[in-house]
Formats: sequence, structure tokens, C-alpha cells
Amino acid sequence: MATILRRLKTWIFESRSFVFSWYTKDRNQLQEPTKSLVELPPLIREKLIAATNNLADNPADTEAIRSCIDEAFEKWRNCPQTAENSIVILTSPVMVVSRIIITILENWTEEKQVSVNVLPWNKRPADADSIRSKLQQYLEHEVKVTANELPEVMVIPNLNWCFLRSMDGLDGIDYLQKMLLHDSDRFWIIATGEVTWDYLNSISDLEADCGRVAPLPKLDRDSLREWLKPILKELNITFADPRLESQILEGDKDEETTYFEDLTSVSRGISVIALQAFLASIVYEPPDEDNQQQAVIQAQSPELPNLPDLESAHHYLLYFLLLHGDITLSALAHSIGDSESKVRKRIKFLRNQGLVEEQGEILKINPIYYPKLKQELVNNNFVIKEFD
Amino acid sequence: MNTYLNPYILAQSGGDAVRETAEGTREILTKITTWKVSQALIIILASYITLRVIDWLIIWISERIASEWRLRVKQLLPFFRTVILTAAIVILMNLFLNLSPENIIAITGAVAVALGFAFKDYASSIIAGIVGIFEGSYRVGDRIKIGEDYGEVVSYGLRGIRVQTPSDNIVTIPHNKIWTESVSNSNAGELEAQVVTEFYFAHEVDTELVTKILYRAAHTSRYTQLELPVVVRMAETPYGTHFKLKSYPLDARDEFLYQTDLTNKAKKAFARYSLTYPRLLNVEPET
Repeated sequence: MATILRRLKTWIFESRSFVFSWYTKDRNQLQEPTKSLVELPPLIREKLIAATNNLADNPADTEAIRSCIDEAFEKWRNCPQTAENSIVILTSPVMVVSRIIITILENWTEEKQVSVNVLPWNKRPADADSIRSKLQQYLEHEVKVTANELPEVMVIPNLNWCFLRSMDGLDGIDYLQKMLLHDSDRFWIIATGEVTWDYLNSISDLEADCGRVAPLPKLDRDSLREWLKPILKELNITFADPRLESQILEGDKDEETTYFEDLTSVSRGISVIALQAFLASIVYEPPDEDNQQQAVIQAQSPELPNLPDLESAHHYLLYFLLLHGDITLSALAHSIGDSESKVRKRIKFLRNQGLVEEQGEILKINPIYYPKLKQELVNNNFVIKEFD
Repeated sequence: MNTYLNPYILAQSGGDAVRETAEGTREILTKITTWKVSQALIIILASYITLRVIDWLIIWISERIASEWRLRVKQLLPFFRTVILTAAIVILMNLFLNLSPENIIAITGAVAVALGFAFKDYASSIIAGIVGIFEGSYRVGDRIKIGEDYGEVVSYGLRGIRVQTPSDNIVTIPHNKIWTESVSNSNAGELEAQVVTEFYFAHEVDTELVTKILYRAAHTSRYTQLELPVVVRMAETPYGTHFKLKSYPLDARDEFLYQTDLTNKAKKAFARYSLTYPRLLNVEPET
């Protein structure tokens, strides 16, 4: 019954925005700007940004990853010849868990008496052709130099950086696949996005050579509430009256509970989307002129922004951004097979619409758009599977 | 006396027949007035406008919504056209004819004879069009080949379909072709249609390498629908080794862009490995 209600609620949320977007979709009409922190007073905005930056990774995510890795590693340690020698952590394509994995493994050398080697990359090699040779160089030469008698754990914190969807960019995956198959002396921890994993599986059956594949579980209402509690407390954030449909579906629950139910629903239980939706829902109401009512910072019902009108060329670009996680413009143009100027023009449009974020040279999807983008791509025949 | 009376009786009976026919016609046809003619013209005009609006609306909606619904919406076009045309014909008949059961039989017979002689092909096309709706040999949005013509069905009319060819020509093909010609339909209502891209090499080429390159070209092209199989086929011919890369684009409309992308990707890789193409045999022509 609870599942049916949850589905009904999600459907109402989605169809509400669909119906609304149907009336407002007009190529000549500008997209309603996404609510952003810019609308908040500077002092509050700074406080909110600082509180968000201080927010630790969601403990529920950390615990889920820790327990998966521990279980798979212990199995391998007890029986290295027969047990699976790897674990793949699958996340949403807009989420990166490399920091969480590195934090978990920080004390493994002492605690578990193992040698932990983390692939020291923080981006994809600029030349796709060199991915394989760089991987080979690290795994066969640099790691061996430091190797000792302890069991070895090899960590690839972001598999997305080990390939590019191009003629010359998949050799690294072929090499890793071979290593996973033949190298049972090492235990491998690999993290990647669901879209990447699905793509690599469909072209090379990577899953057959990997051990356990562990999708990150969806977060529930309580874990989101606990996670965001420090921000709520620090800024004394209150909750507005929920939407009518939430009031009907949630019954007599208090505003805070209803808010987090809604947040879990719109974010699909993904922490990075939940955080973005939470920030977008914060509004500031200044005090009355006669100071009878104090200023309040309020969290309104969380909502995801609507997608702008997208063309087929945009769909391809957005899918490739989801597939690669983060990517430079030149690598994206090389991968998609268009000129850089064409890609730049389309990226400019997507960035202006808020769908794509640009940090330095790196492009990635704005997480808050992911649930609707995923649906849009699925509706246009792109394959985006959800792993449970 | 008999010989005198006979022509008279014959003439009298002939006159009766003419009178009966005239009365019969009067019974079938109602009184034609200026108002009825005006009504008929309004109905014809309204049907024409409605058909145009429906055509435009369905194409407009189908091009705006998600691709997965595009063909389904377009396939409503022949249904709506049939409904509107049937309604218009029934209203017009009701306006000018007394549609009693006897009259309907008489009209049907007369129309059948008229059509049989004068508009045989036209009637055949209309009937084939109605059969085609139920048979589903082709629908709007399908990529079909009838005779020498290949392209996307962009409109489904009363008499025939209009096909947009790769060179952007519009070819009108009457429906009655389905009685005599084979219809090759690449996607049959689906969004994907198989694309076969062909490559030719010299006999001594490294076939494993070529196969690997072709698979990789399909796996990396942005257009490829990876849920559907990608297959490489190879055959020996007198002039060289013939490879066929069979794969599906995400949208059958991108067929030619997809083929170009695959060829482009593969040829770049072939050039990198200096793979040899078939050479013309150095045979002296017979004298």
C-alpha cells in the first residue's frame, strides 16, 4: 500500500509539472529562471554556502559503501583463488563517490594490513589514445615498485576517467578487463555511474569479469533529515505549509516530515540531487516594516526545475555528458564526432539554461535536472537503466 | 391487327419504362435547391479545412513530443482522414438522396458499375488504402521501399501515400500498388531500422582487425541503439573481401547520417593501420 501511495505521489508530482510545462512550452518564450541562492540576501547566502561546504558526505551513503566493500573484501581475503576479486560501486551518473571511498580506505593499511593503491588521477587523460598506456604504466610499473608482502587493494575511484566513447578511447577498458580477469592477486574496488556501467556492459560485457556489482541504495526520509539537520539548525530554517497534493497524500504529518517525504521523492533518494533541491527550496521573508514579525528563512515544498525545449542534438550531448560524468569540451567534441565550435554553441545554450555546469574546463550535468533529464532521454529512445 | 397493335404496345411499354425510371430517379434524388447546393459547398469546404488542420496538427504534435510517441501519433493520420471523408460523403448523400434501403441498393449498384468502368484504378486505390490501414503494410513514419522508390512515408491520403526520398523528393505512390508489388518496410512502426554499411578490402586484409574496428565504430557512434544487436558479416568475392556492418540507429530518420558517421569513423581507423582496399585486376581486354 505504501509503495502504491509513493508511486501515486511521484506520478502526481511528475504529471503536474508535465501539464504545467505543456502550457508554458513555447520556443519563443524564455524559460522561467531556476530559483537560485542569488535571490537570498548576501549574508544568508554566504552562511548557507558555508554550511553546505561544511556538510559531510551523507553517512548513509558512506555506510552503504563501507559495508559492501568490507563484505566483498573479506570474502576475497578468506579465499583469494575462488572468491570474486573485485567490487563495483554503482552510483547515479551525477554523483561521484571517490572521496567517500578514499575516506573509507584511509585506515585500511593499519586496520586490515593491506597495501592500498589508489589510481592517482583526478581527470581523464587529455589524449584518449594514451589512456591505456597510462593505466599500464601505473598498474604494471609504478604500483609494483611500492608493492610488498601485504595483500594488495587496487582502487579505481572513477572508472569514467579510464575511457572516452571514441575509436581510440576504449582500449583502457579492454586492458582493465584483461587485468580483472587474470589478476586474482589484487582486490579491485571500482566506482562508476550507472549510465557508464550500462554502456560498458553493452559493448564489452565488463560485468562478466567483475565481481559483485553494488548499486548505491536510495536514501530515505530520515537519513536525509539527519544529514541536513546541521544546516537547518544553524540557519534556523522553518518549513512552509506543504502543497495540497502532499497534504492529501501525507495526511496529518507535520510540515517537516512532509517536506522530507517530498524531498526524498523528488530527489529519487540521491543525496546530491536532494541537496540541490533543498537549497533551491529556501526562501527568505524579510521582517515587517513595523518589526512585528521577524525575518524567517523558510524551506518551501521542494521542486525540480523544468527542462527547456531540447533538440535532438542537445539530447546526444546531454547523454554523452551523463555517460562521461565530467569531461572537457574538446574531449566531448572528439567523442561525439562534431566540431568544437558546434559543440561549444550547444553547450553555451545548455549552460545558459542551467542544465550544464562548467567548472574550469570541466563540463557536467547540473544534478537537480537529472531526474527529468533521464526521463526526457528515455522518452527519446536513449537507454538509461536503473540498477536496484 | 396484331401487327398494327404490337408497335403501339411496345411504344406504350417503352414510355412506361421511361416514366418509371424518371419516377425512380425522382425518388432517389431529393429536390435540389440553391440552399442545398450551398450547404454541400460549405460541407466540402469544411471537410477540406478540417483535413488540412488535422494533417497539420498531427504532424505538429508528433514532431514536438518524445520520439518514442512520434510514429504512434503519426499513425492516427489515416484514421482521422478516413473518418472525416466518410462523414462528409454520408452527409452529402443524405442531403441529395433519399436513402431508403431500396435506394441504397440501387445507388450502390449504379456506383459500382460507374466505378468499374470509369474509375477502376481510383476505386482500387481507395479500397487498397482502407485495407492498408488494417493490414499495416506501411504507416506514416515508416521507411519503405515500393518498386524503385525508398523513403519515409510522410502522408497517407485517400488515393495514395507520399514518400520523402533520401534526396528530399516527394514521391506519390497509389495504394493499389500493394495488390501487385512487394512492400519492404524497414521499421514497421518502430523507431529503429537496421542500417547496413558495407566495406570492401583486398583479400589479404587482416579480417580480425577489420571486424574489431567495425564493432568499435558502431559501439562509439552517437547514433547507435546499443540495446539492439550489432553484427559484422563477411563474404569472399572475386574482387576482394566484403564486410557488412549491421546495426540500428536510435532514430531511423538518422539512417544516412549514421551510415556516414560509421564510414567516417571506420575509414579513419583503416587509414591508421594502412589496410588495403581491393585493386582493379590488371586484365587485358579481349580483342
